[in-house]
Amino acid sequence: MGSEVDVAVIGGGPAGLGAAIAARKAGADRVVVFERAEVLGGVLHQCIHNGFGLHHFGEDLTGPEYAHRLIEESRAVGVDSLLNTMVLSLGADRRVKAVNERGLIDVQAGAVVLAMGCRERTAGAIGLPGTRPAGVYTAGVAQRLVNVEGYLPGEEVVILGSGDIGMIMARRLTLEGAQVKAMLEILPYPGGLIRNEVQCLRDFDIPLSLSHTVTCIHGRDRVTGVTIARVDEQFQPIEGTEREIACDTLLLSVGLIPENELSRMAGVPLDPVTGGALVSESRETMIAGIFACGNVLHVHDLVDNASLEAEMTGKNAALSARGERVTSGDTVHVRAGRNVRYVIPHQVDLEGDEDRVRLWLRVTQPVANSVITLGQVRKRIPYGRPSEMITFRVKRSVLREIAASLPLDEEGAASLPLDEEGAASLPLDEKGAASELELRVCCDPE
Amino acid sequence: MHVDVAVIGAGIAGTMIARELARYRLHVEVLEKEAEVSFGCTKASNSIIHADAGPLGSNTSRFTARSHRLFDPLCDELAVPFERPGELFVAFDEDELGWFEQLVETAPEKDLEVISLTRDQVLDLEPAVSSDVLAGVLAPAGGLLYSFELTIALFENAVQNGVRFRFDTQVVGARQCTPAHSCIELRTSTGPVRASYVVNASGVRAGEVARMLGDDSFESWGERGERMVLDQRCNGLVTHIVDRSNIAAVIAPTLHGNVFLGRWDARNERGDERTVTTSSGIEGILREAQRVIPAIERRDMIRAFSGVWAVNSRGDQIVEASPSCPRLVNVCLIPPGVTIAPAVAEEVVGILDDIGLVLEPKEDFEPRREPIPDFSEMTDDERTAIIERDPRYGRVVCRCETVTEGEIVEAIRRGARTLDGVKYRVRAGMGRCQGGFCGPRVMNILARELGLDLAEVTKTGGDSWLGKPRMWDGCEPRSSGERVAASEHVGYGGQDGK
Repeated sequence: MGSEVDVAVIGGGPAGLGAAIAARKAGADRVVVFERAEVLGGVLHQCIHNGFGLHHFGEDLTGPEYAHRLIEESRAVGVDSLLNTMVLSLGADRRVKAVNERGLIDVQAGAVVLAMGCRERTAGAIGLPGTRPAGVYTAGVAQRLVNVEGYLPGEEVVILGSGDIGMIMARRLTLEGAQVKAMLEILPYPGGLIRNEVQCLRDFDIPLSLSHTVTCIHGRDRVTGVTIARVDEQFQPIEGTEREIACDTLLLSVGLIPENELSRMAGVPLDPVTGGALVSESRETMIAGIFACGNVLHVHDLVDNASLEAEMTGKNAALSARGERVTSGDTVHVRAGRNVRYVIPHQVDLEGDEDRVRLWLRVTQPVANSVITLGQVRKRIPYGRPSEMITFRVKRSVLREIAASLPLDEEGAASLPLDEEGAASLPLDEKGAASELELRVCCDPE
Repeated sequence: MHVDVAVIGAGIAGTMIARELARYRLHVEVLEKEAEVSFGCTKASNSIIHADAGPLGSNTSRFTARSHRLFDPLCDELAVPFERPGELFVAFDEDELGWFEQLVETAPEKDLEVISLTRDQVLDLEPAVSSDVLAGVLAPAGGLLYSFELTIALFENAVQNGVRFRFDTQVVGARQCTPAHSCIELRTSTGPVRASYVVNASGVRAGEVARMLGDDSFESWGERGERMVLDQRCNGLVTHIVDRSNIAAVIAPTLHGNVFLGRWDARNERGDERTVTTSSGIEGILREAQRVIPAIERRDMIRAFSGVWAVNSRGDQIVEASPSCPRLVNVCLIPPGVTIAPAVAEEVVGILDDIGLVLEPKEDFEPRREPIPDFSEMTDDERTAIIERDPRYGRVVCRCETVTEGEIVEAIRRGARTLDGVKYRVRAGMGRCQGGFCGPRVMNILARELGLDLAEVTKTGGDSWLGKPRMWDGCEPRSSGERVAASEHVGYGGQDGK
């Protein structure tokens, strides 16, 4: 093919579609979405429950409805899409090579948006002892079997991990007539949103056992049961607490991993905490012209937030494709401090169109009545859980004031005296953080 | 039905023998209790072709030496990837040094090339080995392949040359035909088979099958050992197959860039053949491996599995005409079964010849097997050409290993019937997401190509079902019915978007 496009979007889920629509609206002529499945919309198609779109569309939609709206809009604004098309390689020069039934595709893009989403952690990755029979599924695979293929993954189910998909599936399988016998969580607190815990577990009398794990899978051909046990503070099973549960299915809801294989191929530096790219406020990665948004960047709780991020990303990708600057150049690094697991973006602009900067962060440990701080900016939170993303909006003028008030070092660069305790380590770009201004977001008891 | 030779078992031994017999004008049928070839002991074999095995004078030692002359042409004919990185034995104590002396002394008689290495030479060759090592012996013949790939290739080539396979077929009884022991009649779970000759290659169950025919000359049972696979980021940690103390701990590279850890000692009671992994077993392998290669870390583990192998009451390979039942040949292989299989098949054909089977070579025997096209390894031109010929090669189904629908359909055409059968042939589902994305798609392709309902598709055959029709599709809810009704007006339908 060897053609040129303005913006190539890799992935046609909600993030990719949102970015493509925004790029068209911002004036990019040729915007192409590369989608490996046979339909656009990504994982939304198997999320047939409701609760999507309250922020983005101001309506309570199901997953497929949310996807449908994005697909319709992408058509209306003239986004091109290639379905059943797998991107095989991506270069730092923004060259995209892909394949579909018609052959190989080779495209030079003005800007690239990475929107490949994430995958689920598997049984192999967590090293579950026991046999390896049929009937061990990740929650998302089970969701696809029930909601898309129309088959039940099993009749008597134990769920390991209390992520959101696991909780949604606990309810789904119950409604389909299966019996969810237990949900186990190795941590002392649930791994998903509180509202899912209420609406999917408590309302359906599904028992959630915290500080528990599976210590053995039984069955030759198909799962016949699991042994479970309570764990100590080091997550080691406590002897004498083992108990067997007969079941034919074990679902795993033990985390999501951003799918950054193509990003690595292009040499995009990644954040070991989020598993996604290091990005500036514009969602540009450390490689010029390559952007990232949605779950490939960091795992979002709500698709509405992914859409919000995608809009901004698509617009900036369109600017970048035209050769315009997307970052003022006057930037500060933002890093996770005490009890903060990560902050997105990794870098913010001191100058910008919008008055406020939106930071997204997650706490490391659950907290109550705490305060999020960045310099003198404070935000009170009644509670915080690692599973719930916190939005922290900071006035750009305040950031400028903080930056201006900082003492300068010998080389004339400003640096903020930082408390190193509990700080997450994050490798910064090749320019090195020492010569650049760096702010730290912390979460402490009030 | 009457066949010339019935082979019981389609593991490495049964398929190797079937493929040797395919050279002759014979009606050969292979009976396998599992859904596919290699689904018994073979699929979890350590896939190492050991340079040396068994004491001098044993069958194991004789077959090992002979097989090393057969592997290269065999793997070439069958297009099975095979490499010889060499096997490095390392010693950490006096006992092990003593074993080295014996190894070097007997090597010429075993037709085995060995090179004695000092401690420094070992560390030069494998810098990751612990500096506590005392000395080493390098045997360049040590090789690597995937046992299931070899078994599947043997199966395909045997089928290509007229051998028939019957799966899901367990031998449940047997008797010698009258008059005058003219044949053997086998009762199986899929009907009777009459055979002029029977090759009993049923592995762990070989003793049991022999006893069905009144032969109690040996007993056989299973033993279990656990194995681990480390992430590809450990690629290069070792470049040779590193064995401690005559294979008590094995650390080996694999053909796909992972690192394999295992140990030989059985972890179970006699007769316990559950392919189960345990925390203590995994910790044990790690501990032993770390004594040899201290850089190995637990977090690098991506998969643990358990292998079962056959053991018999003689403690050596049994490959012989039954002493009590004419027309029966017993083949009960103990470790290292894959290493010795080519020589065993040769010997079995010789035994059948000796006991009266007429071997008339087929002129049209085709020894070569074409591999399934591997899209991930093709050049752009090759990719364009194959997609033009068959557009299904342009549809990537397994994104982690870049496996196309064309390859999956070809695997099914050649005999894959299950999700694992597809995985072993083309690697769909073997990557980092372990089938999270492609699993349901491969299930659909299997259902379509085999004319099955999705609920009939299995992971490994038998009772390994993957999905059932939904409760509401024509039947009543089987459980929780009341709870569902009660909770529908309680909290369902809130703001639970994810």
